[in-house]
Amino acid sequence: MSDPDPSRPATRTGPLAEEAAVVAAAARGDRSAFTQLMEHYQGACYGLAWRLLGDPDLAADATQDAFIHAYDHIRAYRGGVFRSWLLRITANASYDILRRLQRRPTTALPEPEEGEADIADPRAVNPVAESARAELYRALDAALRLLPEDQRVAVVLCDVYGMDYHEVAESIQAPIGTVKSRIHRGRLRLRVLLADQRELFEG
Amino acid sequence: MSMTTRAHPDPERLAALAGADPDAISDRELIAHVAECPACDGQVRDLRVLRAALAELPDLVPSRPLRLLPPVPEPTEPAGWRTGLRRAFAPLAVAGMVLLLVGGVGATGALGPADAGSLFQRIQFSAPAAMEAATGQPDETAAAVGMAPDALASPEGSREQTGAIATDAPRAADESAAPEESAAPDESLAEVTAGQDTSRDGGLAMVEDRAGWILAALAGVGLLALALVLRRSAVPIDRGSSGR
Repeated sequence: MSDPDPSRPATRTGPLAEEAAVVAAAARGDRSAFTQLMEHYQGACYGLAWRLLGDPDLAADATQDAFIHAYDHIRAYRGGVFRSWLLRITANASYDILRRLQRRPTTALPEPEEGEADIADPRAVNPVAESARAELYRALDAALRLLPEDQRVAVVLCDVYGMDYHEVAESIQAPIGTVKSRIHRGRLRLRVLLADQRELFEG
Repeated sequence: MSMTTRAHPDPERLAALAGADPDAISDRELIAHVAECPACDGQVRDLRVLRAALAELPDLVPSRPLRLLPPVPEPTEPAGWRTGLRRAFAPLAVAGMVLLLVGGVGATGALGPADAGSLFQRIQFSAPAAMEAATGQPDETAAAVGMAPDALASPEGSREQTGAIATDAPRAADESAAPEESAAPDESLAEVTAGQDTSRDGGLAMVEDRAGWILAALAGVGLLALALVLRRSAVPIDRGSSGR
């Protein structure tokens, strides 16, 4: 595997133009400002929920729940990166759904069927599907789906969405030591799962 | 190569190092081992590349259109006169219906030949006297509870009227259903209610007895009419309607 090209265009939603002003307006009750924020970040929230839940409908439900929670609590938002705040809410909403489903912590998501795209929902269009990195992203998402649930949640929150240990621990309500162990074991497992696709990481 | 470099660390420590875990990057022994061990160094490099690739996984388009806002709450009407009138409609209508129903039932005699109001009056006036007549002594209990005089006047009445304390309807129903049985209590009632006019004849007496019910029914009609008037006056005029 070679080091990734840092000059590659970002594939994630960046901050909204004049985001602070829009967030302030939304906190004052401006529904159109709130709509603007949610419209801007819905792909980020849905992506997180889908990677945590592995199901398009559940992911949409979790994102919807997160939007409602954000609407009810945006007055309590105290600065910082709005995207991170919203993603934490989405992570909590997704994990609530996971708990409701009473899945066992070590249950892995079902493997994608033969011939099916690695992204479970064909309507969930990858914005860079036409790029050379699309295959790598599909392989990564497929490998994530093969992780035990506890490891997948920890790795997605930490390595995919950049949460620190404390944020992950708060989201999944687990001790820091447990979170670290899950993340580390998840990384090692991913490396093994992707060992025969090393060429995807080159270039 | 030292013993440190030959004993590979726990793979989880390598994963922690790849993630720049503070504990791992401050572990000099671990750093020294990775620096001298190509296998562990390669593993750490792979894990770093993996992390970098994970960190750039793209956002996804939702599988279905999402509602970006919770439903708009029902707008609260301003507290204008129309709102006040509209709010008065329901209680007025209910009160009117109740009065009309009760008054109508009472006035048409469904409760018996004598209305409950007059019965109540008779009970109030005659209970102590009835007790006195039956026992030969004044009875304070009967006066206190307003117990039915008929029940105290005779054993039969007592048996039939048990539980009729201050209850008008059952008493009236008994009277209409079994006039013969009620004759005796009525007689005793007539005896003990000296000074009261027991010979009032039918028509006028009935109207007098049921005057309360009739008034109640009329009040109910009035309230219903008032409620309807308020309702109509509170409905805003639909100027946009074409009338078709």
